[in-house]
Amino acid sequence: MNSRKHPKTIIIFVAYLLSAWFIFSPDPFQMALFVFVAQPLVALAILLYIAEVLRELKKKGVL
Amino acid sequence: MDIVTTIKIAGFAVILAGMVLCLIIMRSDYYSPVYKRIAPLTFLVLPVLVIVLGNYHVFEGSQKVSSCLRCHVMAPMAMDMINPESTTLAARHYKNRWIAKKQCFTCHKDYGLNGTIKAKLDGFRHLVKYSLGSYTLPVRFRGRFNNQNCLECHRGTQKFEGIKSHHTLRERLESNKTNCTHCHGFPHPNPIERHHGEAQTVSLK
Repeated sequence: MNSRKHPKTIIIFVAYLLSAWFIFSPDPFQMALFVFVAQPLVALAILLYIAEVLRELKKKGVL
Repeated sequence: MDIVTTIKIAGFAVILAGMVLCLIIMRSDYYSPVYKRIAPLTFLVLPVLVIVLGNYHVFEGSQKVSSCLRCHVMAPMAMDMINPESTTLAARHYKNRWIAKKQCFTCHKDYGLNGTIKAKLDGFRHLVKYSLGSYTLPVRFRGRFNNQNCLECHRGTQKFEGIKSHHTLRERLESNKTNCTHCHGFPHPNPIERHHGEAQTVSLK
């Protein structure tokens, strides 16, 4: 098992949890968590994944 | 089934799928074909879907009066609106069903998807202040009353156009130099007249 993939998996898992909480119970506190925490976490996970793909493509000499 | 419920169910399905994929990824090897196959779905496709569905709830799912009532600082305004004895503008619009549904949103709709950036930023500021408890009661309206929220419905109606002063003041009304409230009274009670009525507020949810 490679530990490199775990940070973004945990990040996106937390974002999914916060999003589920907001959709299930759309109170102001949950909305704030979704807007100000879950969304940036999703953006961070996407960036980490894109960086990983680019790194691998460079390693293979595609880029 | 209404669109909000449908989007809610779709949101849950997407989130559940994402969480299952996360668990599979945690158990799979980094260079395995399983990881390569499901990683784009887990880290790109499903997260984007969750953001889209979540933001739908942020902007469109929060149009009901019950949604506004979830912030207890708004309870005095809502309690006044549903009070049949009240003569504020909001109460008159509510009891006469001049606005049949989504009463809060209809008059404050510059918060919605079609609203201005400033209104959205104001909405986010309110969200932060409410969540952190960094506000003082009674809340006060910091902005400027926007006549367009009234004129959007009333402009061009027989009753509105039949009143001479509306024609005399048209330019001032359109440019917000004279507020509708100067003649028609305030839309909500002033801070001294506000009361909470928490029990009734909860029953509205």
